[in-house]
Amino acid sequence: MDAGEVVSGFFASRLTGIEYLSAWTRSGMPLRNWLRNGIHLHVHELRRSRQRERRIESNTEAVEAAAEDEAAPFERLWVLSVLNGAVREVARELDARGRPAEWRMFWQHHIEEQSHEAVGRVFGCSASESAQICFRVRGMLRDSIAATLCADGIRDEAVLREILDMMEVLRGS
Amino acid sequence: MDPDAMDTVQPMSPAQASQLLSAVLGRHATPLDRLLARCAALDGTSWTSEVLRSHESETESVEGCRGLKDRAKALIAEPSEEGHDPAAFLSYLYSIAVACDTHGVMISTAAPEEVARGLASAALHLDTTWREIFLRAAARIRSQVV
Repeated sequence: MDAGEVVSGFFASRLTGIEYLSAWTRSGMPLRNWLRNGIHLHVHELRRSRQRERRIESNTEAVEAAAEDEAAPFERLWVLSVLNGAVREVARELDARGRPAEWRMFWQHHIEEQSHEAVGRVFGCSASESAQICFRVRGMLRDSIAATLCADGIRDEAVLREILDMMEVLRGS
Repeated sequence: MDPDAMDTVQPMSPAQASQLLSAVLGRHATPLDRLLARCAALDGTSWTSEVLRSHESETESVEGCRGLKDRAKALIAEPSEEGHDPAAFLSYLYSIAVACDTHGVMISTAAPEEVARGLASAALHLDTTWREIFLRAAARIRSQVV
């Protein structure tokens, strides 16, 4: 399948009705970002579908390994793209609310592995307040990731499974 | 303000991304994923050495390994909202690795391939000495010579 066929397939799958473009108008995102995210997910779906077909047609480990090797770099880029987008959105939202420190608190605790006590000392709050703030920011990130996935066709009930799959993709990095 | 012009956040590395996903997943992340995310932090290797050094004397006997495994398993069974305790899971894997590599005994009833995969994945983040113990144990479990 060449790039032109992939793009045509993407538009055919998304533009059979007005729902996809209606969702774009509600998103507030630039159309190029919306379409870029959508085509990434479409290619992701095609690769997974081809992997499933190969497993049904031939159960050799070599075929699966080759398919996974081929998809792996794209999958990792896609996951990083989704996460970077969610991070930018949440940081921007907190900044707009006048609470940029909350993003830094979340980062120090979850990425730099600082305890809530240590984070609280730096930002002048208690450990439990730090925990509450990090919990809230975590929820914003989860909602942002879920919104990206749902906007591109993942059902609500499948979002957790999709995020677990994203974790598995990164494990292969 | 043009949101596309705003760039207060730098793109993440794959290691940071796994930590972020682990945070988002919370208690839904597997113990192995939570451990690997902890290891991905900048102090990951030194943190693992600190955890493993604290248990060295306990693993001098098979009974000690079993005791460590059971205590770690109890902690893993009750994850907090933020997820499974990575130190507990590392301790769990360590007890199995030493029992297998040093004492020649398999003390885990979990599926051998799952245990071997956990040991091999964690080994990549350990200092050389511990890494060899984990990798040898994984190889023995996979070849079923335990």
